[in-house]
Amino acid sequence: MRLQVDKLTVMRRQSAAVDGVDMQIDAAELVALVGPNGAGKTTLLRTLAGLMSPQQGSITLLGTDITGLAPEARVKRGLAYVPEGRRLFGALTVAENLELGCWCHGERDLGRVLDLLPELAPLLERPAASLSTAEAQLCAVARAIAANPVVLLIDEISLGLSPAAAGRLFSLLPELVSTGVAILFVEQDVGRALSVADRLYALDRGRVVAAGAPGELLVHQAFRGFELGD
Amino acid sequence: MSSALANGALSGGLIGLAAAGFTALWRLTGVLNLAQGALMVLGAYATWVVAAALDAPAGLLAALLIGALIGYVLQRGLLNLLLGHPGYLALAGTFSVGLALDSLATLLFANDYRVVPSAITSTVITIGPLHLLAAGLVAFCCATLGTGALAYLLSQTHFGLALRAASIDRDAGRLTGLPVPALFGVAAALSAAAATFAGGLLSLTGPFTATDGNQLLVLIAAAAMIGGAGRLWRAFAAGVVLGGIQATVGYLAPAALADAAAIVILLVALAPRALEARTASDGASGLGGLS
Amino acid sequence: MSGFLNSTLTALFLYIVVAQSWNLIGGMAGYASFGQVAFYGVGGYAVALLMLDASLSFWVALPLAAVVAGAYGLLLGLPLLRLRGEYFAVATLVAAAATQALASWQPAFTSQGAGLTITTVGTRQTTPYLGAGGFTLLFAGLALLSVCLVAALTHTRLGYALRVVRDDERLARAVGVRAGATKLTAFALSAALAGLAGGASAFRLVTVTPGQMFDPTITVLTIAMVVLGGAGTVLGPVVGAIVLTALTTAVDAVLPASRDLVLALVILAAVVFVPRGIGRGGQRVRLPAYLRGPRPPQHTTLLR
Repeated sequence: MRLQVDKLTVMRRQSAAVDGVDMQIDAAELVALVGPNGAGKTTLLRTLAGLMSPQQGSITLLGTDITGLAPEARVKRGLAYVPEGRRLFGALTVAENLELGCWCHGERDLGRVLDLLPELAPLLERPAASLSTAEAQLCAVARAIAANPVVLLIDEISLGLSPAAAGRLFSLLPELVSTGVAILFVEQDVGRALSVADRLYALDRGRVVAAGAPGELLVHQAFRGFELGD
Repeated sequence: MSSALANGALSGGLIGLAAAGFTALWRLTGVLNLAQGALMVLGAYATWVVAAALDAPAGLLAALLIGALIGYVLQRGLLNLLLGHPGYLALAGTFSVGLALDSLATLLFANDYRVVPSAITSTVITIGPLHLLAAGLVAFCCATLGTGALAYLLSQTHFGLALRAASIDRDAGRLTGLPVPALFGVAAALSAAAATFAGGLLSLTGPFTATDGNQLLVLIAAAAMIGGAGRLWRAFAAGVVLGGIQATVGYLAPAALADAAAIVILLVALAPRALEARTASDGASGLGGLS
Repeated sequence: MSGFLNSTLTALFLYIVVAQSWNLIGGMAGYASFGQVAFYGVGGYAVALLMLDASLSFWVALPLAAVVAGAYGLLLGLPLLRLRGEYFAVATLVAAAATQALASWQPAFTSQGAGLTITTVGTRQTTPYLGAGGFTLLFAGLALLSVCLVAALTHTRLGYALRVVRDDERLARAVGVRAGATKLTAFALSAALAGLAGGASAFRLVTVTPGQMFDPTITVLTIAMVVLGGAGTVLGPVVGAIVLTALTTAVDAVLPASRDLVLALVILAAVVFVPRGIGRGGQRVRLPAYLRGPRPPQHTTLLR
């Protein structure tokens, strides 16, 4: 088991934003996290990444409990996170952003990342702040991949992207998974999540209301309330 | 008078080095370290104590190390905890650290003037119409080198890159795997070491006393403000100019007026910033990069 | 009343006045002044000079000192209040140092470094020395005045305007608050209060020196009291003043030589452990404070 989450509860303003969530993600699995606005998806990911601390429960990465670790220590152990809003270092160049992604293992070789995302090569010397939304999202994913993660968390993967740019990102995910990385991504569009992911978790009001492979979930009660994509 | 101006400018280089450290930390962490003047005095005492037992270079090394240690502990133990809280808390905190260092120095060494006896203290070099103090000239060169080393570390190395990234966005830095608390600690260590090293140089060029901290702080802060956040060389230059003006005014009028003159210059230099502040929002993100 | 009780109470009331004076500009307007002692010193020197050179009664000199300090606040505030955040803090710190430098340089202020001595005995005295009990009453009155002033202000248009300026200055301008005039009024009032405290202290001390009247430690002590009690509240600074009076009294009794050292450590502890004031709960800084305002980038983790 790459990532195991047990009975995770995170309080925000006196109410549980994440409420007793259990989750397992295996190596080379592509898992989607879906749910309506305010379901607790971002809170869950931020807690997994170490930006928020849970009131209860545990997070286990590769058999080691990482619940109390700082974000940078989790990155070193192989848990990378592409945050909502991307949060690139805007004043630095794309190359510098990617080099910083390598900080936790010390090798500054961008070749592997550029093999996966060749479209970044001509942008390397541009300041990250000057990138388009689509380019910036690719750069943010590339920065996280540069850390050689075993588990990659991606928040709001296609938010604000054109269908073509989103398509490019979704075509990247299976490629990454084939190298052994486990990926958990948040997607608003349930239809697209169903078509791409190996498995889904549906979150509502902080609880897991459905989990399983796309085929099992299409008939599930909890999915009736969601808006399916076209 | 031109000699007074030149020697003042040379000693202003020491203020400049401390101001470079001050402004670097300001740019990187958003904190103005109001203990910088007291750290300079501490460096002077460290050099004075060690130089008496060994020699002056060992004294300077001791100043450098003690400054780095205090800076690191200050950042990890206090300033990191205050990030995200109103800025005046960090200011009050660093000011009290300065107060504590000052009162420790007063308790340990009393308020007497100290001077490190050194062969070059009284040597005078004559260049054309200028009579320069050899010790001052050497100290100025050391301060320039120190500022250069600091600027190189922060702007040209991978460590400096990581530090700049962390200062742009702390959370993103941590999510990228940067050990931000430790990086900030090292930044504070470098900044404080610049102050203690400058203080060590000060002790080799003239007398000092435990109560000099506040006056030094005013000059350091003034130089950093004139230079702008993260502008190491501009802060250094401002320190040199302030030193020169202070010495010249002090040559013509009572010393207290010299401080006032330096301050009037500061207020004039701040005027454009006051206008900027009306249009741009505050916060570290609006400030320039390190140079 | 015993002498000890009188001096302790006098210190307490003095602290309340200076703490409320800082509260006006730092707590209510959000402009953290690090030069508050300048107005304290100016008030002190105004009283001393008016009583010595103009032979005015203390009761005339004290209100005049408040006016002088308030006017000095207007003078400094005009350029300085255009600065924000740390620029404002350091500019006020430097301005206070400049004021001290000017006071030390002006021979009329120092009489060759020995300081000014207000005539309190003999035929040339303008006002008889008040004595320990008298000063306690005087400072109690000033403390009451300062608390009432801040309490009254919180419910006036000016008080509301100050809070809007503190929370979002651009928003304040957008909704029609005259931010510049509002800040300047608060700064001048704050300076006048500090001037009252300094003026009364000068008469109590009889001899005033620049080193004593412009000691930057006074500024930081003031900030510490407001932080400790809770900035921007009416009673917070009073609580802070009580705590600090108790502490300074205890330290003076036990370890007078290391007074500054102990004070510094107390301020540090206050800043780290009760950054939002005792009244609002002793929340430790290291507890994560989630989602703090909408301005990106949001830093939600505190550095450990």
